[in-house]
Amino acid sequence: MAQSQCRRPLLYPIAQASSLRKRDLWLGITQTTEGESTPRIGIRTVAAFAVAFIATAALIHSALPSPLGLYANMRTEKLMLLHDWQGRAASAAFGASSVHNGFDPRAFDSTLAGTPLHTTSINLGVEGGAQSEQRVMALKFVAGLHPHPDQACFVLLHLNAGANFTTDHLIHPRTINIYDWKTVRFIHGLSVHALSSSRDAGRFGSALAATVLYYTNVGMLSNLIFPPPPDPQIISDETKDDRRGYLTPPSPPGNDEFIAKVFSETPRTMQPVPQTLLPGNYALISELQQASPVRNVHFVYFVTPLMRDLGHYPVYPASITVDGGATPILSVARPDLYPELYHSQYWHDDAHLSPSGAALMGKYLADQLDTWYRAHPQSMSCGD
Amino acid sequence: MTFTAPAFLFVFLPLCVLGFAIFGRFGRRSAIGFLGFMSLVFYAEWSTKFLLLLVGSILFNYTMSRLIARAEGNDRAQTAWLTFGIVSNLLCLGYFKYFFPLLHFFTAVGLSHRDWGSVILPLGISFFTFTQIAYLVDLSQGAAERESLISYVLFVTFFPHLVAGPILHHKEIMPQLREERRYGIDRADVGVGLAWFSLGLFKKLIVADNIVNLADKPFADPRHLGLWGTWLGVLAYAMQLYFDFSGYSDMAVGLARMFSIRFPFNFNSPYKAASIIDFWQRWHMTLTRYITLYLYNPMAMSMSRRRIRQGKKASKKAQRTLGGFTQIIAFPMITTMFLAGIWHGAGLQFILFGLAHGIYLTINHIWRIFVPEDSRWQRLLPTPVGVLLTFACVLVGQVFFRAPSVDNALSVFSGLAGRHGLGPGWQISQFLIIAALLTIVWVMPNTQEILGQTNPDDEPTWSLIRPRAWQPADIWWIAAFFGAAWAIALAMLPLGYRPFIYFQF
Repeated sequence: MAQSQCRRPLLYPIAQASSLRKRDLWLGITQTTEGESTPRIGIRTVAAFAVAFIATAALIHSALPSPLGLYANMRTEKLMLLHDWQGRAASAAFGASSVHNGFDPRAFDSTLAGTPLHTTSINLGVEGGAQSEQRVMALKFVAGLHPHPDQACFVLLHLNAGANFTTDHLIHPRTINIYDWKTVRFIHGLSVHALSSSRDAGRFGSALAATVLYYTNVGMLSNLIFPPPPDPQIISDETKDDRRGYLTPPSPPGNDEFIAKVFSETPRTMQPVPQTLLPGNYALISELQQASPVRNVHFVYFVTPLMRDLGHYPVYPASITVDGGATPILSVARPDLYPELYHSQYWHDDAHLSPSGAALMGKYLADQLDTWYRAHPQSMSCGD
Repeated sequence: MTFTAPAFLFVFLPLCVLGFAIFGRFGRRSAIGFLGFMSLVFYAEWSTKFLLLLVGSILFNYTMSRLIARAEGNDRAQTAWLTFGIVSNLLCLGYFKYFFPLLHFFTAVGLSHRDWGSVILPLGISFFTFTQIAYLVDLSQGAAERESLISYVLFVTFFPHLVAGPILHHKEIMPQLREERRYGIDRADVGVGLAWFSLGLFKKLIVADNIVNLADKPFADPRHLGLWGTWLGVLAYAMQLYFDFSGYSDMAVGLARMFSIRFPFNFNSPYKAASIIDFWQRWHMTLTRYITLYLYNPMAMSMSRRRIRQGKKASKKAQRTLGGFTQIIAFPMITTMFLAGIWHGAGLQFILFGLAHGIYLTINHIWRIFVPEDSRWQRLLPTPVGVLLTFACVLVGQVFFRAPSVDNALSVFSGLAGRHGLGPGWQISQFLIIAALLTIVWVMPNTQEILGQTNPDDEPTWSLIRPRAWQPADIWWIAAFFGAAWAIALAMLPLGYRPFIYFQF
């Protein structure tokens, strides 16, 4: 022990620093001895770097399991819920926080109970979710769907969710793990004609940046080897009282007064603004139809309300036709039809409903669905 | 802005390299001035408010250095200026680092009933304060030269070392800044620097940041973690701390090298140390050097002089007596490490960390002085046993170092002793990962050995493999190796902000 403890003065680096010399042949790059050639970092060196980088990244990518299954906070907890309900749930609602907070499966199912549209639904909306995330979640749900001959199967898709994640989520597993080429193409389909060219470029550029991160596997091995534990609090909150994924965050103190004030200050011009659907909306339905292993799965778009609907509210066509089938578009964002919903007790904030508002929205959606299918009768037996 | 931030990697650093190449064409002063300016920008990105503190500290200390230099030959005036300079620096450091924790301590023990609030600890304050105190001390002793303001600013602020070291000594940096050489991009230095920086980046991102969750576990809730889980967590923390801080140091050394400035090494395979004395010569080496030069040596010399005044001997032979050993070695050693503990933070746990190492070092010196090298006692402790024993002692110290409180540390020790049961909270794969990391630190060459950049008088550390001397023809393979390494590094990149551990000091 301690044989070599005093073998050098503590100040040895100082002695070295005073005689700086390029003395080492290092990595073949350092070479300053007279008479010897200096290797250059040329194109071929850069090419060797690039080839090795791409080959290794491709190897890792091919060896990884489905990146959707890698940890991504909130989505992982929702996928666990989906796994638990696989085989039991016949329907699911997808989308962003206004679905997560605003679609109560209990109200939806109880309204449809006793009708031919009877179903068991779950809420797979995710805080901060986007169309890109809704797409992969819905594909996962549809691919694992079992026949439910005594029930109807609905895939409820959030029409007014944002296309991409916000920039806060650009370098985040929620984004990186799902942005393959198909997602980029899907996002591109949501951009055409919808935005100014600069915003369109921004949206597409953001998707492209995300897909570069996807194909270079950023963070994926880390999440595979060292997955953060799923949040037990989220799991508990979203499953108690048979909530099936639906959850409204608790209101901060004084929230009711704040909402009432915002409502009183919001102009109530109630101007309808006609909307059209984008190619990406059609493409998603088509992709889901092809992915479904069971017949008679009904795909539905729905629109969630916002407080600003009191000024201008969107008006969508009643349905779209995709591959010969009709997809109904339901909208609760209609202050002209549902004036009672636009009262402060039904709102958590200007974009999210309160628990009583969520129950109301579940009921309205079920009612609209019932009405639409009465007008367009077809087999509701899932899997027949 | 940390060295791992995209803004640093893809904007700040390329701008610095490019600017250095351009300003270097106009000579030494413009190149140094540019680096100094960019270093201030680097600091301002964190806080413009505290940039004023940094600039104030530099101007104050530079003024002190001029006054000390001007008073050459007048010992009383020099001592007065030096004392004023040191006290002012320590007061400033004490205010930001220790004053409010002390007030909170008074509240905790019932001596006060006020809520004292807190103050943000300026980034790197310990590092730039100590660097400047050392310069003032050496200047007063004639061991340093007067410097131009522009060189002095860069010496203190140079961004690779500004926020978490290495603690630079003016003798190793100032000559480089004074040297009239070509200032600009040296492809060889950029190549070495980039590789050095990359290895540090891998250490931080691939290893340290990925085991944070494992390492945090025993300290987050020690009472609910059993024997295996606690051991796993404590070992994981040892790995995290090493790969985080040595990774940072490698990045700092590599960054400086890109500008053809050579920094001292800060790590030299510390977990291969066969004794605690050896450990401190390998771990945070620039801190060891600093406290040896400016705390331990003055204290030991003072004690020796005192003995001589008392008519006692202060020779090596005198160190073999109980009184001599206590006065010349044990007291300065324990006091030095006590102060080093306080330097790391204002908490009882840091004091215990320092004291533990002070006691370890003292015991090690007892062994070194009183047990002859050829005795059978020495043979009882072959090197591998010494390495394991040293590592175990280091682990104990690190529990105090990491724990948020002494109570927490004691609870972790209970877990290590199995007093919370065997318990859940671990997986065999996690142990395998830690075992792999231990294998790396124990049997693989370190960064400077891999890069062939060791100091000539350094003995190579024990390694299972020897890095071969690279030849120019290998460059394709090297490029390919780094290409593959970057692909793996990106895949292993844990997403989220995790600052370097030593930023808090």
